[in-house]
Amino acid sequence: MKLSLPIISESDPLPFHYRDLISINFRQFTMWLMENRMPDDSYHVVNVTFPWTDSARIFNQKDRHNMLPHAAKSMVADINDLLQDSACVVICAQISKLFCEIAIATPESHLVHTLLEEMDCPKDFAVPVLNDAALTPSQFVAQHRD
Amino acid sequence: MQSEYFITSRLDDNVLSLDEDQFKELKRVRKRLSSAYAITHKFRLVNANLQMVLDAMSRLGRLYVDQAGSEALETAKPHLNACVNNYVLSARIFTSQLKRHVQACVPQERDLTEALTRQMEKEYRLSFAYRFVDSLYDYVSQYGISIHTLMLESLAEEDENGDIFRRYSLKALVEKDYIGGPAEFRVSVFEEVEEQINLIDVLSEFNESVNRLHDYAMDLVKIATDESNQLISEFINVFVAEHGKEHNNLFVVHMTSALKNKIYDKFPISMYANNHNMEREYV
Repeated sequence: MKLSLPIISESDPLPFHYRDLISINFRQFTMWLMENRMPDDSYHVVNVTFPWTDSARIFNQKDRHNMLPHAAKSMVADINDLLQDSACVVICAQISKLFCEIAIATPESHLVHTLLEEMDCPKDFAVPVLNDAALTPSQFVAQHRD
Repeated sequence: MQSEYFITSRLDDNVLSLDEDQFKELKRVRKRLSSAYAITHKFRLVNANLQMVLDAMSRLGRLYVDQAGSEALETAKPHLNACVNNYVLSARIFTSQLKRHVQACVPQERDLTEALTRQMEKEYRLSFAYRFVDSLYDYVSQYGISIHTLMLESLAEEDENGDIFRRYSLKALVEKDYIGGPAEFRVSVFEEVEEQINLIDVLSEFNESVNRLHDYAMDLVKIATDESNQLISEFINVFVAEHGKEHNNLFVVHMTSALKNKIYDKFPISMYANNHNMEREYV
């Protein structure tokens, strides 16, 4: 007796792998960039943490957090738009009941800081905290994938 | 008070008279056959419950992938939990009553029941999955939950045209941290549990043990059930020869012929012979 799940094409063309953990009091959706698109380890990683607003948290709770994966993918798409003319790229994102974290690989950290300052704070989130992760892109992804 | 024994049907008043010895013999063989049937019926129940678990998993996976709304997902999750709980409970019904059924089939042959006991102990000893699912019964009866976490993964790949497609996988997990401490779970098994248990893997492996035990038990009782089946068929054939083939639901009656014609005992026999729903010949 085997379990079969569909192989889907087209409907979700983001070049990321996904993992969704749905637990009793815990929901976490992680996405990480496909290996063939990852920048090399000379790049730095800036981690941007967006906290959910209180009202958004209440709404999420009512919806049993089932929209979290979609919210993460939207955020990644929006930020990639912002980064498109730069050498920066989103390598990883993780969303939970409290935060949405986006990890951006960049040749120079200050590029990300500058670009994000021009961004309007997305609806449902409060002002983000940026920090420079002391990890290479591949190390960062490895840590979040497991 | 005079006792009367006979075979009859609901269809009409046709009877085949029996003497007391024949009645007792029929009662004995019916007990043997109903016990053998019980083993197989309960085994089929367990198998059907496993299939329901797999179907519920597939359905939940599909709903998720198709981005079904919250309501659909929040219905599918407890449905899956219910299927897992049903499996565990039906498995316990099977294992806890297996020896009793074999004993009822071969009451004079203690060595056969002992052989079954040894076989069950062997499964317990050699299979972690068997030990775990057996222990899960108490946990599930107490807390009503078996699945702590669902993990959905989707790995992206590129085809020749550079288009992205995804392979989805779904796991149902029991988490050691959610179980808590050894007071909540059979101690010896709890110590063997790693961080997470893949529930479907463990249920499938356990089911293989159930399969082996079913086949082993049915082999132990084969001679007794073959003989019993033959005897019942003989009586049914005699009835049918006398009264016609349309009587397909016969039962045996023990009645008094005193003033109020009271029925002391009554049991069916047709269902134990010519049952086309059963794969094996003797049931």
